[in-house]
Amino acid sequence: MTELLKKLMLTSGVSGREDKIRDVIKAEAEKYADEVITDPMGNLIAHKKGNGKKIMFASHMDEIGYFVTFIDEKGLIRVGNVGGINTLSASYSEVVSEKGVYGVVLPSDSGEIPKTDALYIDIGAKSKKQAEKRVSIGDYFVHAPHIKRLSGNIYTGRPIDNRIGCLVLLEALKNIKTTDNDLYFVFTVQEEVGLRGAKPVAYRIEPDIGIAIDVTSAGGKPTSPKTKVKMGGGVAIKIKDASVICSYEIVEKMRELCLDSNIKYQDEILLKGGTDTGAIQTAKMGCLVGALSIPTAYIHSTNEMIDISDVKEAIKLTCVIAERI
Amino acid sequence: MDFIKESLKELCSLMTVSGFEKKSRTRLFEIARQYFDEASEDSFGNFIFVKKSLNNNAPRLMIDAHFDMVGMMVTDILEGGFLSVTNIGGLDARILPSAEVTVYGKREIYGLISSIPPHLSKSGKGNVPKIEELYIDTGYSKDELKELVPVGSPVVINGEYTELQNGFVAAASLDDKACVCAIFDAVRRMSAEELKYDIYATVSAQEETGKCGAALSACRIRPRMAIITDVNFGAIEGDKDYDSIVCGKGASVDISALTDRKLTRGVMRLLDKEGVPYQRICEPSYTYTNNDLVSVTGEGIPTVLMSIPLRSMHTPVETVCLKDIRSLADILIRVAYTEKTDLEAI
Repeated sequence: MTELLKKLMLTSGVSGREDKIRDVIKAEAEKYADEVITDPMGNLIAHKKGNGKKIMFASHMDEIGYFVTFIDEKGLIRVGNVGGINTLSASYSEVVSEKGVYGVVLPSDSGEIPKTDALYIDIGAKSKKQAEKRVSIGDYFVHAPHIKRLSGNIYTGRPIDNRIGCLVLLEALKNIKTTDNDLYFVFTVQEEVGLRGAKPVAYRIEPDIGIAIDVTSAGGKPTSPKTKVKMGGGVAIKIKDASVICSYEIVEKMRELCLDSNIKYQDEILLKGGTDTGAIQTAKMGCLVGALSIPTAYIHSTNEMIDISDVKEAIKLTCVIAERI
Repeated sequence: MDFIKESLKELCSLMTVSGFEKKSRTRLFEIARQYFDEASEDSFGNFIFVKKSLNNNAPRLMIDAHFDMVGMMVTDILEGGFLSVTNIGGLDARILPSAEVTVYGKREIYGLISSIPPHLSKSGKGNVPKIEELYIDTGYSKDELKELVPVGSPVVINGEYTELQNGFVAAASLDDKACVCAIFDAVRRMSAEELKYDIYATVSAQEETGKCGAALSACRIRPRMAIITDVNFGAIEGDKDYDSIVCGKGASVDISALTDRKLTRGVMRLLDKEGVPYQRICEPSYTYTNNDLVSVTGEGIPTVLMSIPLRSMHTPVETVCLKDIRSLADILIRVAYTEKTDLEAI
């Protein structure tokens, strides 16, 4: 599992530029799905055919990053954000462009926690002319991807949000036993910029049930938001986040499945931040939705952190949902 | 007025916190079945009730009011038997300390929002505490609550239906059950012979949390036109700056960039012609009602927005005048008896 996780983590894919990560996922999904297609927006849809309930699983494959807006006279690169940048963590961190140009993110000189539009990237160019040889307006930059095992089950790196969800879906796709259900494993684009990819896919598939897989904020650290969710506490069953109130029938069903199958779980109410769940629930004529989450500390920083034991529970739950819901 | 009083009281007694509308499906169906030919629901918690016209091939007219209400959700069970909560929809935090609530766990549990006395308050006198700083006290122990209240259970701030003077009533969730009631009153009195449309009454979910419900129903129904009904701010003492509609002077027809100009004008002229009193209010851009998403559903749906003036919005003492509910019902009947092309031509 860690080999696949590494591959997923180390391939970049900022929202709107998911081509490379999609290729990695596609190669893996094609081994186990009956059919794999890419829709016009770039969502990857792996279909495992059946005659039963139509279930759509969705995990977004995009990640936050930057795009170049202009290059100033000194050769410093001004950028706009793609998704919610944690500017405290971003300051002085390493970034790399889609063309492979490395740089360092600089905050403006105010000394306070910078706003996103005050960030520069220094690629070491001495002038505008020099910088323009390697960077063009519209180029994407991304925080350098990495993954490390800290100790035991604890891993840190980026973008755990949401390559870890992609891993859960791919592992589930591989491990699902026979079922009548008609299963769609969808790797969505542009979640980080407003849940944009999941909606047209749900519109196309018209699932009976939609299940999103994403990260959620874990508590227990000095900087954590107030939440009951803990790393190592098992897979989190989402009840609500800022984008969705999950269908309570699905929440109850997921709890039941966990109890039946001895899966360690915890309840999740996320007060800030949304997920594809909300977009799927309200596409076309709507469908029942639920979501399962991986408790993650320091989301959207350059060092997100998870307990891999939660990921294993998430894979188990995804499998039993696919087989038995 | 007796019908309006009785059905409004009944509708307001139903727990319909956004996302939990389906919990009240049985009673709603029982009420609606008396006036409609068909009833259905979807996964989201939307209800659609149909009254057919005797005219064959009549176009579909969607009339929408939302069923959901603002409320809270249990986020955790704490030592000492307290429940922490988060808001569902835009709750007025100023009314929370010491409010009486009902927690809809495995059964209904009466509770109070505990209030830290000003002597002990950390936020200091005069500051409104945030919802995360407030806890529900039920008298149960933590262990008892763990049995009774799953995390995620909805909570309602109690606001029983109360009659005031001069035909005014107060209750929690008059936003937007006053309009649901008006639609039921209208449909009850509609003659199938005179109806120019098949009426698709949508009693929609989750207006308070994103306004998506009615749009899902609109996608399903594909109506020729839609009338969205919701409450709007009734003039209230102390807010003289607000250019609002007045309780007791009838329902309003709203003017907005997101409603259909021709139809809205047609409805106003029809009411003028027939001498039906109504008010007008301008919502230049977004109306913050189901209208905003219904009007851009599918290939676009021409909409008209109508409002009932309401005082003390999003509190347990929301106040309306029963006359305004009847007024909205009267307007709905007149529009349902007029063909769309005639409305546009007036």
